Amino acid sequence: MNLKTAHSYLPCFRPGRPLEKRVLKAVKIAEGDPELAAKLKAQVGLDEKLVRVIQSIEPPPDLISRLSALTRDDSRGGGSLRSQLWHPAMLPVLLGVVVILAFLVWEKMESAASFPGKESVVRMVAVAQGMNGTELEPTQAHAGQLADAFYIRGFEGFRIPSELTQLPAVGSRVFKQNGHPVAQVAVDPHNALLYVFRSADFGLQLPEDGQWRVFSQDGWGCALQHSGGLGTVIALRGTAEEVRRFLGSLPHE
Amino acid sequence: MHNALISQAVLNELYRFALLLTGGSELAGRALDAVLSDCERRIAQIRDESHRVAWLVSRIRQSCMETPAVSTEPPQEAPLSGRCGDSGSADRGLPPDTVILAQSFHSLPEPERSALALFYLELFDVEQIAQVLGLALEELSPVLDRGRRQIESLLNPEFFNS
Repeated sequence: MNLKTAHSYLPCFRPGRPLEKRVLKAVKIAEGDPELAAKLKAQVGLDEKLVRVIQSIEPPPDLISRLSALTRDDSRGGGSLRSQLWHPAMLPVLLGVVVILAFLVWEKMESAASFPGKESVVRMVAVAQGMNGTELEPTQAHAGQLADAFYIRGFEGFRIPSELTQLPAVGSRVFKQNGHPVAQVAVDPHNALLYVFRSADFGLQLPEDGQWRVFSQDGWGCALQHSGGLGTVIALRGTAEEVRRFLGSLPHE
Repeated sequence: MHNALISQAVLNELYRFALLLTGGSELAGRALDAVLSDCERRIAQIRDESHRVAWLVSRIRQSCMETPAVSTEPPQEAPLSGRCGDSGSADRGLPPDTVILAQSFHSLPEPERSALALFYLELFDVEQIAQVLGLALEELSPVLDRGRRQIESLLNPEFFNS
């Protein structure tokens, strides 16, 4: 780095803050040059004065209490009704109701050999036929860590079943189907693709019981789960049996 | 028991950021209030705190940039209440140095104003500031340099001697 380049990076220097390596190098060079050293000293002097005034600014107490109330995370607390429902005495009753309902709905779905919204899911999976991989933004995160990335791209509330969260993702994107966003993740094992969508957007009506429904379609083995208002599809090239094996290989809590 | 999605220290910094951008405490409070009320549900969906703060800063910046047009009058000479809507009355409780500094910042053009404000806060390092503003580090550096020279010329010597 020469003097001119060092000079160009010095404005980014602020003492006591983490230094980017080019800025650090520029500061080291400036220390050995009287002109740059003087400039840096003047800069630091100005910054110190401004920071002192800025850091003395205190928000009005009423504003801060209002803002603090807005930024509380209530989602982890649970409401009183929820607490009552999870009371130990209520659990067998709830469990019984859930089992009966799940059985009735499942039996109905099975007998129909289909479910409302399947057509949309099949179309979603078929999107992969026209893909060459460049559509996906590369990533090295686990599939469960992509919620923020998807949020930024316009898919709010991305969540996947716990057994999928540790799958290494290699690419992701959000695409629209009938105007509704679908989050798509390519995962490493078996070149599988995950699709997450809001069930209401695609008319998916299945019990939210955490069960995988396996089916095959046009050379793709697929598994679908409905939970928390979201549909999650695993699709891989192969048969329904291969998807079942894939599901069996996933960690279960 | 409630958990804070944003720490008190970060809230203070967000307020300072809004104050420097709008030039008045009333407008800063309103901008912050509006953004946080609007985003209350969405904030909880961003799990990583640094992403959450970066996202909020972008929203606050956007909201503050929609405030009334910047006056070209020197801040010391302009009546405090005339620069930023009705912020003057609410600024009476702020120390004079703070009012002058906030109004001087408000007079800066973008992106100098946001870059310098973020640079002096404790929210991000320079690389993150560049990212939030959509600049490369090489682009941020001259912006900070210009911003410093402009703010220095807006503040009279008494400010630095006080």
